[in-house]
Amino acid sequence: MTDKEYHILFNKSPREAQDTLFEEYFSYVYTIVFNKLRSCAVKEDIEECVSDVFADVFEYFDNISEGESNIKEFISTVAIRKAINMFHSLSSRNGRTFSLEESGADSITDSENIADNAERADLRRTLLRLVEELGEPDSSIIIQKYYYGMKSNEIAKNVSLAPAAVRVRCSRAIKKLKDKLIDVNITLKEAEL
Amino acid sequence: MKNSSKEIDFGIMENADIKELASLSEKVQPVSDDEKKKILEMSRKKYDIRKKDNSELHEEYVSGSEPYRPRTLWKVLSAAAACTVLIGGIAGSVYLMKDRTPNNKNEHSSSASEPASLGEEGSIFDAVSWDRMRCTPFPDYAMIYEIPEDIAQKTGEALKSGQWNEMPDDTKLDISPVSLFIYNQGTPFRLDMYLIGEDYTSEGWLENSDFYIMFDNGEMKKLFKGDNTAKKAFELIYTLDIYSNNYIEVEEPFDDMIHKVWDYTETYESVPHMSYSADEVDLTSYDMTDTEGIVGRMLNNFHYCDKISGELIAPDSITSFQFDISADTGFWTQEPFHVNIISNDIMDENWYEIGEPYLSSNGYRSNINYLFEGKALYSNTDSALYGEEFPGNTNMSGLRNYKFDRDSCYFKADEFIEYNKDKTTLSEDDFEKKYKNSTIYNTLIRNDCVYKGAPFSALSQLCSIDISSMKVEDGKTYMGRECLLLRADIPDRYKAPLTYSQESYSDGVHDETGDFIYNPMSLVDYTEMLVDKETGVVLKQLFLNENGEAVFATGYSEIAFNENAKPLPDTEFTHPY
Repeated sequence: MTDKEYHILFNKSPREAQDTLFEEYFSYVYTIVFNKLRSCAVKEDIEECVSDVFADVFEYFDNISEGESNIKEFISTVAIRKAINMFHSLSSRNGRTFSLEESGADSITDSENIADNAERADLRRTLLRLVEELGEPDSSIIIQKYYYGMKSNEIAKNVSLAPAAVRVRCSRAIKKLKDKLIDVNITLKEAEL
Repeated sequence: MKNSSKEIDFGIMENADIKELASLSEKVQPVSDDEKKKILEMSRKKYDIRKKDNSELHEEYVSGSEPYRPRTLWKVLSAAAACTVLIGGIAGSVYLMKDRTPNNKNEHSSSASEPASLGEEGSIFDAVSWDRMRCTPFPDYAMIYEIPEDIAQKTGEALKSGQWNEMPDDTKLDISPVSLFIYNQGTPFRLDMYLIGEDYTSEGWLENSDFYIMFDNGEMKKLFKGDNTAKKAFELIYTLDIYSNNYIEVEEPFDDMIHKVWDYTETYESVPHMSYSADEVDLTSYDMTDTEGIVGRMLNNFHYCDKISGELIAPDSITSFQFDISADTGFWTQEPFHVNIISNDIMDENWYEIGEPYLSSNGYRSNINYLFEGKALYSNTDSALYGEEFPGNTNMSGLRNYKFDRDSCYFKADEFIEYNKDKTTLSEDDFEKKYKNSTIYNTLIRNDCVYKGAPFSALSQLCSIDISSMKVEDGKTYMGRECLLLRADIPDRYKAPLTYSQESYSDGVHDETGDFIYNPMSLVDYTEMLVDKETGVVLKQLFLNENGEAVFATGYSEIAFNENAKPLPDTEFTHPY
């Protein structure tokens, strides 16, 4: 979606334009925000932040004339900034402090050393690849359960299965995933499951 | 090799790059439709307000300082998440134990390469100062314990006098090591000790185990295999009551531990070691003569279980375990008595269905609990129980106090009965409302470790029944012990779908869809428990359908309640009455 398309829709029906934009980018925004706040925020903080992002985006498009800019890029920037802001405010409340350099809003990576980052990125790719190899709906179930921390009955609605079936599939899939990870010499920590 | 294996969790997704996040967001819907709708409404509301007062936009946009809104339930969950360091470690201990069982015996070739003279002149151990030594029983564990100087010296002597052979780098060590950190007058190094093969607690461990150490000084890392003399070092550390020593608490990340553990000078004092017996807790008022007396004794039955060991017999594996609660060394007792638990095709998912109390804290980084005496046998969220009325302690120090204050781990029957009544009678919504903001109660149960945790408390059994429907019959005997037979309804929310059947587990689930294949046999209507009159331990439990047919059962094959008692012979797993 471009901002031009958004404005055409907006002129027809502002509400419809906002609904469409929200529908298209909700998961994207939520994923960005969640990723940044996962370690320090509660679910409601994350929801708060995501709603702030969309309120800002709606407001922003009210005030600019149409163009051909990339909405996705813009939204991701707003999401990252919002998430970082909330991250700092939550962290400072929890007694954590940060250097000014860390507030670079265009990057959500911390200032870790490059080698470490590269290794983590590699592990991340491996994890995602192996999760994907589980096939659907198992890969979605695993991500929703262990990354997003969703309850079985919530997942069940998303993947159109009975909650009990989700638990069964989840339990089997995580065992499968662990085995796959062991094959590449990676151990999935039990305590985080 | 274990040391080159990387440990990760889903937290590794943090700080993923934007492309990875975009890809993830395309595949997975991160919240339910209802929550999504709620967030859209929140966005609209904010947007509308801002439209009215445009100046607020800028303030919001640049301040970056949003007020923190405490939310009770999630605060509780965050507190639970804080327990994961402890739990990770304890979970590790379970694996440590499992790996040491004969079943997991790792066959190593003893084809050592060039002999290395670790203890000889000019060797690595030459001129080492052993006076300062710290130890952690688990890798990546925050708490590092001081080793008393005399033990440290003896351990050093044993290491030095042992014969060592250097091993190839690709030698497989599939267990977690016990790690020693040696200060060595400012030239520190680390020794990871591995005992592979026969369990240390068995008589023949010395002859039938292989002992390895991984030497690491940050510059050089080498693996050696030691002889029986060297094994003395392992024995010294293994038999030490490490948790009664002072400790330091290292902050994450657990990198460069060789040096990091010596950056900490402030040590914390461990509470002096104590051991217990059930006599220390007064359970006489719970005399097994009425509902309260029975429930109270059942809830507190773990006070009778100071040492527990046994075998979990699952369809595809046998896992031996030992747990010495009274000594609480963190290692495994040399004098176990046996409580064998036989599993009749128990699968974790099955137990989950029964063991899960209604309101669970499943999700959102809340990994907890099943704690006993400050130890977790397993950690997960799904059997967590809430209730202000049913007191508990969420913080780590409180949990650790269980170990030293047995009275603080005392469950009141009347409070639990009230809780159970609510759980049975309130609608799901009302129940959630009532308990949403309650303190979390750390239970002694688990969702997929029925085998390991079962001896510790009847809480999970009591959670899954409607206590008000309980009928009691006296005069039963099981495995030579006097029992009560309790019969109670399983509330609707636990009844179905259960897949316990005479068939194997896989027959209960549709291969394609993963849905349960419903079988009339699998619908559990009520349960029967044989409860030991003396201790309140559930010796056997049956789940029965409306025809009175037992569709699933769990129970002990051997049991004894004091060290002098002879283990009872194996009992065939049949309906006892």
